[in-house]
Amino acid sequence: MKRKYSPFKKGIFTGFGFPGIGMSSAMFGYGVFAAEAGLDLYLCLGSVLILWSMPGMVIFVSLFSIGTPIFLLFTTVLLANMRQFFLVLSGLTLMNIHKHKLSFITKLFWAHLISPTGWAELTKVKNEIDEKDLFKFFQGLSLALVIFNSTTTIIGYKLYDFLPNDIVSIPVFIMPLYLTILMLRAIEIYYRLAVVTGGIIGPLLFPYIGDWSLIVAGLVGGSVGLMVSYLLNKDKINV
Amino acid sequence: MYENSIIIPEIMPWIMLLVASSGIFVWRFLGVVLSSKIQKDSFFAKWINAIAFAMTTALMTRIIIFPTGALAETELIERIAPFLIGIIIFLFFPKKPIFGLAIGVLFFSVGIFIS
Repeated sequence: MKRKYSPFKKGIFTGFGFPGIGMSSAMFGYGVFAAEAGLDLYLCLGSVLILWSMPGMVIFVSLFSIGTPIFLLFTTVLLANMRQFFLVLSGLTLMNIHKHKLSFITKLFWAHLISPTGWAELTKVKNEIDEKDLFKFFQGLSLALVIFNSTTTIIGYKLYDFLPNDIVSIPVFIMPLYLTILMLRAIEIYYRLAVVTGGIIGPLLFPYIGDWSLIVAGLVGGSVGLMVSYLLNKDKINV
Repeated sequence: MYENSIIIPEIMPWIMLLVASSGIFVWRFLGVVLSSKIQKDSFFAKWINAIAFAMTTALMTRIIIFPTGALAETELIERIAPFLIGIIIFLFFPKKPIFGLAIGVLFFSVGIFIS
């Protein structure tokens, strides 16, 4: 018989399972990257916990190491991370977080921990777990991800001197493949269409508009997905 | 790096980190504020979710095609081919996503060792 775990425990197991392996592999690579750029270990770990966003972390290390002015650093991180707005908006709505009696600061704290991996897992389990328990699941998941990712960041940092880049690239490759597969597992047709459209448009636009390509790909992909699904449903009703 | 700054040089990296985090914080703050105004099952909520789906995938395909760090040391074909193989395997075995992931990673590993 399959054992039934509480949502919190299920979140912890998920965080230490494949989603955690995928995300922490990228963090392992980040640890190597930060060591290569000359950050000290505390700053490296601090950047993981305080930023909790891979694009933000990579930009921070890249610009910090060349001594970029503060205003430019702020602007670059700001423009590159607009996606956080949509992830937080979507994640908090999925968890229906405003039904839970939480202070604004507490909500902000949990919003801080919404990463693409955390959000993707939320969308995956939303049909398996009661809506009221999704927040508990997310708490367990976040706790596991924070522990797992901090550990692998430190390991990556410490192994910088020993590991060749080829070996480091293997764990880093896991996250994009894993998350793309997770996105394609969406049941609703409009989400699948959004995934395919966004996945094609994003890299096509990147050479021309840089980080804005993510926002444009998101807006176009999301809108196309919903529109096509609406048209298909309309045709079915007419038939 | 920041030796000419009026702030103690040892603290400067942490100030830079706080500045960077405020750039992300703005979006998270706005997300929390506006999420209270959205109904979970509304059309708008679906649209926001669809945007997040599309954006996350765009980010993942971008990492494969325009990577930074260790992944950038590999050839484009060494990344794209295993990525697509992994996706195709997943589409054949949608109930066992681990197959797609494992085979994709295996092909990538073999590819970089051969090259």
